[in-house]
Amino acid sequence: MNVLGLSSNYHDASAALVVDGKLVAASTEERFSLIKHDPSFPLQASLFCLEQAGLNFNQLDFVAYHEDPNIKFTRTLASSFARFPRSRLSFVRTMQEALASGLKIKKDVGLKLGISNEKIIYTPHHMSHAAHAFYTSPFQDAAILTIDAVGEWTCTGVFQGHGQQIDPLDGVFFPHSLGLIYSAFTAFLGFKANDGECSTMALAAFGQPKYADSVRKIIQVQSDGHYKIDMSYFDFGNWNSLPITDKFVKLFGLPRPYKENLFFSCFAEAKNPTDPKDNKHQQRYADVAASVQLVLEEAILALAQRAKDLTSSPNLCLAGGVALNAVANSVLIKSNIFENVFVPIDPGDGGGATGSALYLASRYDSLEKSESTTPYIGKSYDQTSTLEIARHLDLTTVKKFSKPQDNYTLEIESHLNESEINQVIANDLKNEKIVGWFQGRFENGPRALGNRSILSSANSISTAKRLSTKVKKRAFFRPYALTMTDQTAKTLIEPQMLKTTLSRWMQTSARVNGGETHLVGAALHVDQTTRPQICHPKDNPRLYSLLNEISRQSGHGVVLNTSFNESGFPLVSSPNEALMMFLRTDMDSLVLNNSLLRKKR
Amino acid sequence: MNNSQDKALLFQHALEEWAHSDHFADLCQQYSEQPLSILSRSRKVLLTGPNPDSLLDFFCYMYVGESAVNADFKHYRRSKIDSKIANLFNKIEKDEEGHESDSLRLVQQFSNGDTDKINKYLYYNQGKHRNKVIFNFLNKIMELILSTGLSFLYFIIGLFYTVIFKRRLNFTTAQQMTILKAQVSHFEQLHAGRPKA
Repeated sequence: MNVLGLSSNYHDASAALVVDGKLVAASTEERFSLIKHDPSFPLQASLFCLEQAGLNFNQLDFVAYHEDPNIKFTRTLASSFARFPRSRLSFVRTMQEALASGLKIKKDVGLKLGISNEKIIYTPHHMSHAAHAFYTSPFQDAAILTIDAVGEWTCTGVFQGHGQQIDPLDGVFFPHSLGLIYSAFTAFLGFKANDGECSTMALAAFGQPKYADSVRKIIQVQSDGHYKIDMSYFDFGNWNSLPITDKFVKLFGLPRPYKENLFFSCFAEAKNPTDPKDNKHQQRYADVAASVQLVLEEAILALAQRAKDLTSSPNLCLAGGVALNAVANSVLIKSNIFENVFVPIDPGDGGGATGSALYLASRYDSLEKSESTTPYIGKSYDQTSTLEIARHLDLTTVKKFSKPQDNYTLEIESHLNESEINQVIANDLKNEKIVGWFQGRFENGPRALGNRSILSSANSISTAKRLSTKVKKRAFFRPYALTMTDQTAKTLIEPQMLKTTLSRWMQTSARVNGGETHLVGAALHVDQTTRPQICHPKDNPRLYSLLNEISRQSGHGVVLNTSFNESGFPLVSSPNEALMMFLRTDMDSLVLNNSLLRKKR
Repeated sequence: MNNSQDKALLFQHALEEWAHSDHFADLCQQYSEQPLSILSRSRKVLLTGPNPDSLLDFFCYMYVGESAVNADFKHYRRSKIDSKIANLFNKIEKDEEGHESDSLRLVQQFSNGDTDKINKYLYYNQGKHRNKVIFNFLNKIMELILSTGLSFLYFIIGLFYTVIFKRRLNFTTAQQMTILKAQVSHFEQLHAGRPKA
């Protein structure tokens, strides 16, 4: 049976294809449209999925949509009228969206894909998340916890998975949403909601949870593991400005203007504030971030305990946007409430399409479970045409429109073998070069896991700073992640994090062993943690062989790994996009499959 | 498209346009109080643009677009705008003129000198561009009418049904779980052993 899963209309629209119980392709639409978190109908992602399997739309048995838009509409209406008569604009916007697309999903999907409406099936939003987490996990039996902003009415769900059956057991419902509250704090801290949550998490490490009791007035964790939100602190009809009320400001002070630079830095020499006047406010922002992070972790632990009590399973599958919080995930692992914790590759709405397709497929086919999951199910590209372009570029013009506009010639080599490329790149990394690493099929999900990555030395702080300022345009308080071989990880990372699958795909934070921090200073957070990708040979053989060469040349198989994208853009998808970023920024080398481009200065 | 030099030229155009968009993004940030997704919005407009039936059609589309942009820029520059914005238009005007002449050259190259063909596609794309402007204008008017109507609807529904909606928001966990379980159960009944559609 061929089931195409779709998610759209909120953020991270995506498509996924399940053929005879096996997930064969998945991608978010942003990877094709270049619009970060693109919510629009995932037509290009759908076309890619079908092309990957050699199918056309007529060969689809079903199209599974990740939520029921009719039920969602009742919730948005109720939410609007709860604030009557102050919510006219929110109502008008809701209705306009509903009339434009929200209430005619079946018609739209049918028209765009050219299939009959009968084949289009809505799956409940949190069931989609739960199915994504459980069916891609190695477990036959597990508790499933889904936590996100909101889907239809559900904000948090507790499920039990057994074999191919998933049963809902418990939930917390709108407006009581941990995801929405974390996003509201994110907006308060001057970051973009639904995008800057990772910045809130990063900032938290610089603060003390001095406001935890204040946050606990808002997020009230109860003895049975449920939580309640005091909504008098928020105005969620007001996302155009800040979704908070005066009562919120009385507790936490004025919000951070988004243009105000934060002085915090992960890089040792710039940690201390210079201006005492700034210090007071800036420290308050960090303390608020630390406080909301702490209370979020408390709420997640309480929910996990409830899931454990209800299911008695030793295994937990965690999904929903909140499962992207790597720090909270590490706290959950360390709590030992569950023996095993699993998070799917794309636990947020981007994975909704995968979950939806798997859930529907599970009703008809036997799903293929595997011991290990893989993120490399995106599109692959040939680089020949890109190399032709690179050879014919007028570098004088290119430099005029690039930052920085330094002088270089472009050296291009193609048809190199793996070891030739590895030797050059390992040497470049040792010499503090910044390398674009583009290989095979792109990763599904938000993390760069070695197929669309920017790599640099793990211990060169000056290179990491150049990477932040001249390539990624990223604030110094946001740390980078590390990719390392399983062998190197044994000496580098705290033992508890070596066992979990979360550390294989950058889904948790882990403490770096005290004596080893100097080896990875460029990717170390202020609390001496990092977000590891522990690479096993079967996970990504190409990346593993590069890490081995790095180890041979530098003594340690570890490298700083960050996503191959510019600020405000999704990860690059095609070689042309990779070349564009390589030319526009201060990157030094670019590997496109078996070809190598280097700026010779 | 087989000619690598033409491909490289178009790639360079994209690089230049991206650099221009960086300038505009910087300006937007200077004038905005909120982190906005201006870049994403503008990219969306570009992506919904061409659906060419040939390379000649595409280059005509590009030429018409570049000409329109140049005309707009000249108009903006003459109007009373902030000096920062005027400087930016001055800065990028030459690049845009280059794009216009490059795209005209490509139009001529891909038509093999067939002026009838060029005119056909140029008129077609100019018409498309004009229609888009008219469509956007009408769309704005429709939106205005619709939002006025919806505002009336809001007050009418609100006066009578607000209590019901508030009650729905205050459902207990047990009530909500009953609804969720019914939704799941309904789904599973519909798809339990059902033969392929």
